[in-house]
Amino acid sequence: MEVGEGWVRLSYGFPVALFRAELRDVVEVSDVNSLARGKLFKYFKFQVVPLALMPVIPVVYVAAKSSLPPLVYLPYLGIPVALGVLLSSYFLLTTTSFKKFIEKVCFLFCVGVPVLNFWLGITYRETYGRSLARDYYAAGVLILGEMLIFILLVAVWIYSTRRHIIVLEDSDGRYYAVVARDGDAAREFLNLVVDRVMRSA
Amino acid sequence: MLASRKREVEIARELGVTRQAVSKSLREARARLTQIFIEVAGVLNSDIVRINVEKGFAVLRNRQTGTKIYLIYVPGEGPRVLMPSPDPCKEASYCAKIIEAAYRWGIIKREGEPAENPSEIIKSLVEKMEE
Repeated sequence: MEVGEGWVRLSYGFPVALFRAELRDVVEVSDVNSLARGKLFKYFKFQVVPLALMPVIPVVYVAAKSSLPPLVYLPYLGIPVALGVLLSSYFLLTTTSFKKFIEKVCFLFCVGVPVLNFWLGITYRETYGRSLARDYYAAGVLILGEMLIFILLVAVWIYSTRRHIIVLEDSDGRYYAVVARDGDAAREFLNLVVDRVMRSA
Repeated sequence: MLASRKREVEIARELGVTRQAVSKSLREARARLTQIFIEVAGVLNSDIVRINVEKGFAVLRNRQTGTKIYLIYVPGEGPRVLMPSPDPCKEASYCAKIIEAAYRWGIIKREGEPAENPSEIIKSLVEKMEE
C-alpha cells in the first residue's frame, strides 16, 4: 500500500501482486470496527457468503458421489442443512460486525453439532444395528470434519477480533477494505488517508 | 452543489458549464469539507473514526473520554456538532438545522408527515452515521 498526495495505491499478494487499485477520489473512509452498527453484508459479501453456505457441503458431497440416500432419510440431511443456511444467512444480514457473526455461527455450531451427532448416532444404530462409535472410519471422518470446521471458525474469530478493517469508498461507489494489524495502525492509516488523499483530492 | 445529490452531468447542464468543471469543483468542495472536519476534530481533541464527504458527515471519538461525537455540515452555515445526550433536541432550532441538513445530504429520508419527534429523527440519524 502506498499513499501519496491525492492518491492511495492498494495491492494484494506476494511476491506477485494479484490485485492492484489506485484510488484518486476517495469520498469515504471508516474504521468498521469502531462503528456501532456496521453492516457486515454491505462490505464483506464475498468473505461471509461461503461461511453461510458451509452447511450445504454435505449436499454437495452426496451430489458429487451421485448416490442418493433412501428417501426416508432425506430429512436427516435436508433439515439441518436448511436450518444451517437459514440461520447463517439471518446472522449474515443482521449482525453488525464480523466478530459478532462468527460468535453467533460458533454458538450455532457448538449447540447444533452435539444434537446432530446424537441424532446421527441413533439413526446409525437403527439402520445398521450397531453403534456409530464402532465404525471407526465413519466416526473418524465425522469427527475430523467437525474439528476442521471448528478450527476454521476459531481462526476466523481470532483474526477478526485482533485486526481492524478500514473501508474506503471512491466516488464511483466502489468499496475497498484494508486490514490494519491493530487499533493504532488503523488510526494512523485512516488519518493518513484523510490528510493526504481526501484533503488533497 | 455537493449536497444536491445530482449527477455531475445534470449539474453541468443546469449551470451551463462542462462536466469536467463540475467534477473539479466537487473535488475541491470535498477537499474543503475534509479540511473543515479535520480542524473540528483537532479542536475537539478527537480522532476521526469515519468521514463521508459525499454525505457531509464525520464520526469522531474523543481521545480523553472515548465518547463518540457526530459532525454534520449544514450547507451555507458550517459544521454542527452533535454530542451524545439523552435529549439531543433541547435547543430546537439547532436540532432542526441538523435534521434539515441530514435530509439535504440524503443521510436520512424525509417521511411524509413532518410531525415525527425531532429526538427520534436525531436518533435514526446517529444510527445511519454508525452503519
